[in-house]
Amino acid sequence: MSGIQTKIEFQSFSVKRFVAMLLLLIVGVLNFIIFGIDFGRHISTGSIMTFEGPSYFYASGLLPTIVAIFLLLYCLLSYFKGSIVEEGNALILTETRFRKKIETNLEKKKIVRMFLTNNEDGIKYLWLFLFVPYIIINYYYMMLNFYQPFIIGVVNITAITILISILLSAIALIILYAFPQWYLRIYTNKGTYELWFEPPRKKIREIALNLGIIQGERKELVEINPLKNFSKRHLLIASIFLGYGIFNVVCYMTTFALFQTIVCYFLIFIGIYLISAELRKLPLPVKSNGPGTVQYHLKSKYYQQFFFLNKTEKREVGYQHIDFEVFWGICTGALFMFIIFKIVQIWMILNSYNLLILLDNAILMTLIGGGILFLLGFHILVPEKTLFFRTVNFSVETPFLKSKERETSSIKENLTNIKAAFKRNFQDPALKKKFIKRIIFIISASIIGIIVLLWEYFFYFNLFNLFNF
Amino acid sequence: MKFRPYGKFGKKDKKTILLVSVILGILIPYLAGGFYLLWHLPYEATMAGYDIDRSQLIDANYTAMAGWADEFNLYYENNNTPLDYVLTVYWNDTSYTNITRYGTAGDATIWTGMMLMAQSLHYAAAVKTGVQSKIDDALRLAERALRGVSILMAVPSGGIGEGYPAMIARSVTPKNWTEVGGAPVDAYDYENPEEMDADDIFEGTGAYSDWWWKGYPSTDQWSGIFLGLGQCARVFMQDTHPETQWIRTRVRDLAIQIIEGFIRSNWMILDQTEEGNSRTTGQDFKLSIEMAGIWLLSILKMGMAACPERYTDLYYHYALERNYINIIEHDLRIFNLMNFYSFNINYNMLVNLVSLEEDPSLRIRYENIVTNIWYPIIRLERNAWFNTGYLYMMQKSGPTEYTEADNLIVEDIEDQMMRFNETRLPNNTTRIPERGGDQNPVPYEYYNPIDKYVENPIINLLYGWVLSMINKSVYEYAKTTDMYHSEDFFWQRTPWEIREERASDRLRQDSGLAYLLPYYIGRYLNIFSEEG
Repeated sequence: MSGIQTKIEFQSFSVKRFVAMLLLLIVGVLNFIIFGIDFGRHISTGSIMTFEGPSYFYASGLLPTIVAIFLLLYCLLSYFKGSIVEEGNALILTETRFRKKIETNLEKKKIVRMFLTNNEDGIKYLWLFLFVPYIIINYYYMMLNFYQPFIIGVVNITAITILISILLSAIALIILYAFPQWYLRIYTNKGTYELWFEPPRKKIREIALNLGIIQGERKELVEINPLKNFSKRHLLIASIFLGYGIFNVVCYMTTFALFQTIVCYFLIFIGIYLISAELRKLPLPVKSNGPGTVQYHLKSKYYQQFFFLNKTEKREVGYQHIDFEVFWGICTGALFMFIIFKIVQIWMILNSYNLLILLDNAILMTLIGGGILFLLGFHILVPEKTLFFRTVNFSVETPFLKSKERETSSIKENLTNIKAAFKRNFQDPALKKKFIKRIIFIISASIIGIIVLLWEYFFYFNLFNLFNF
Repeated sequence: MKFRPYGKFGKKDKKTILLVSVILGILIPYLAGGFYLLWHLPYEATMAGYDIDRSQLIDANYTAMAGWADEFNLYYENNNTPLDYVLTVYWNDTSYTNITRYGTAGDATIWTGMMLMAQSLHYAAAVKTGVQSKIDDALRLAERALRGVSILMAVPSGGIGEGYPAMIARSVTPKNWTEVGGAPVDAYDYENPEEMDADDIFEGTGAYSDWWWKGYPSTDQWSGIFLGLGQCARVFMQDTHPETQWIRTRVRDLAIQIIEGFIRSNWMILDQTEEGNSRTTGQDFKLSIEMAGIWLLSILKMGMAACPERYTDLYYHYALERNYINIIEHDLRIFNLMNFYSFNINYNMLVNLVSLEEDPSLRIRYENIVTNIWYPIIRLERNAWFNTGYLYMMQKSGPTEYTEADNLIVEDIEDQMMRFNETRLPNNTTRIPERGGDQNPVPYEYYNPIDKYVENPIINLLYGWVLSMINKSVYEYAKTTDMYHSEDFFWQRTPWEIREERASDRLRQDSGLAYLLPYYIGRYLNIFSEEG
């Protein structure tokens, strides 16, 4: 078979993380030089947090520095020389880390599925949780410094440094979040084998070809061309959440804003998450390519996936909710809790003295907050048409890309499709179970919001207020 | 490669989870216990010690009290405000004939602001008497305090009004002050200006370039300004006399300048750098672990009192929509034993906020906080300012509104005010209620509630390091007026601990704020009458 050798060797070094590390290191060093790491009264670029407090380094330079150190260590420690060898009935993967050889010996017949991709999420959303609040907080620090007096004719060094820090950190965030390393997962009958690594680009195809053995069989790769298949539903929700989140953040410093910045954090998390998911989406085949093991190579401009399935796998189209992973659990729970809290609160505090002042905000907050929660609820409760790959032990789902209803622009048809999808919640027992669980989750988060509000209102419990920022 | 068996957790994962749970299960309760002790002991020490013995209280002599107020005002005007803002005077010797220098130049702003409140209420009380000469006197003194606040803002900001930033000085002085006969103000080196601390002393801005100002202001200084302007607005904005027009205009200008400046700085305090740029000092007025909701609300309430059409919406927005009203009960018990002065600056903000609130639903919330959270902490401190401030916030405008508990508060206040006469007036001169020395000794019997915890071997073993962090010299009884040393404002000092007398105490003369502020609140609330 063309391109297949008995042994392939490669070196894995996380170049993307190294680039991100360099950017963050520049931020750290720049902050260190400009702001210093002192506490106290005589810091000419200003202090934060408390009287005679620390320099701005601790707001805009510390996190990037820590992350840069972590990434540097990661890059160094994760470097290895790898090889893949096919020997008799075994596929041997060897990693040599600091002269220590680690061999993974896989019996070819016991490999039931595998994929190799540079599009695996993992827990990459943690980068969002880390850097979005960093960027927002530093945006406020930057703006207040730009507004400061006595700067005419003099470069506002504090504001400019923070601006550069925000920009470089944002680029690093994009690299870290949107461009994962290569990820290999091999399914066997006992468990899975995983490896994050970053081989040279030109070696990827060779590695994939050498790996692609399922139950002892090999087949040609089937190339799938990229398709434009953005989900309108995801992009609509993403743009609304991201847009309103940023708008609210901008308003929050100088004027009225309906929700706390903590709400904005989650809106922005979801917005970036969905947009990124859409941009990274790869097309999947919907038709079988004949008997035997099937190997697909899916690729778009930046992302690729080598997908190896056994011929015994079954493909079928059905309905499926979005995967309710930790990210969605945290974001949905937090948004329902915080927004319900604010909406109930503002109606509770209306009285004859403040009626005219607050009524317009109460109505607006209810409409916007209600709209956000409706969209979120819609997203996690209404199932999407999905393509399933099933075997005895496993099930893999992916959004059904060729669905005709996606392509229609008619509102009426879309509504009909949504209605039909929603009804599936009650027709399919598996969907019904998930639907009920999610409804219970949403109601619980909302009730917690209301209980905390009532607790606070009657017992002056103030922990919740710390989330005001 | 990493191998994961099917199923949620492998053996290794389970072990890790167990280990982390055990560590956290022990560590968290242990630290919680430490924090509880740290916060509980001061409470134990100062809130449950004793009851005030009514038989020891001195009856009020209102005529004498009014006379002392006049004395204080005389010296406030003649000695303590050479540049309109409040300074401490240091005399050459105990004959008190020549002023050698002015002190408290680092804290002048807070006292000037608080004096503005005192003199505004002085005016309100004078208006009630209907005697024109008294009204004129009071107005003159109030204007002086407001001019003091103005100059403290104008020198660093370059002027007064919306177009100028919200910068404030700790003190200011003309560069040629000693040349025109003024005694030197501490912190400024008139002879060798180039040797002054360039990090703290700056040249005035714009039209005030022939002045110097001392920078790095803190929330302490601003608290006095917010209180003063808020209360000045409360008294004068309703007044229609043309003579008070200047005050109304100035208060409004200052309030707008301050609030607009703070909106631009995201409520952070600004200072200047040696190069002439501005910088943040680190403190801000937004809700945070350090800062309770009363701060920003109190600032906006000041703005609302001076310019309601501009700041009412913003006040409600922060109070209700941003939820600030629900975190005004900052736990300040720890300040009974450390940084007691922090009580005072927080109290300034609380008094300003609550006294200016008219919305009945918010008043209920605020009054609950004052009565149930704040007052129990200060009830036994024998602090006339805190006590009059309490009645002022609760809008108790006369004996008919007093409860039995209020009656004791009033008796306590009168006792403290009368004690200004005892040994604080050395050599039979009534000039020096705020002149130092000769204070009565503090009875050397003190109650040490910490010991009972130290005696417990288990607690001592576990938390010895926490107990060692707490100052154990705690009196059983709070000091009274006659036991304090001279201070720029001694109600900001702890009544539970001793301070050694300094030699300079005997030569200093403070502004009289410690007397005038509770006195004029008392006059305003009809606690004290003019005679009797």
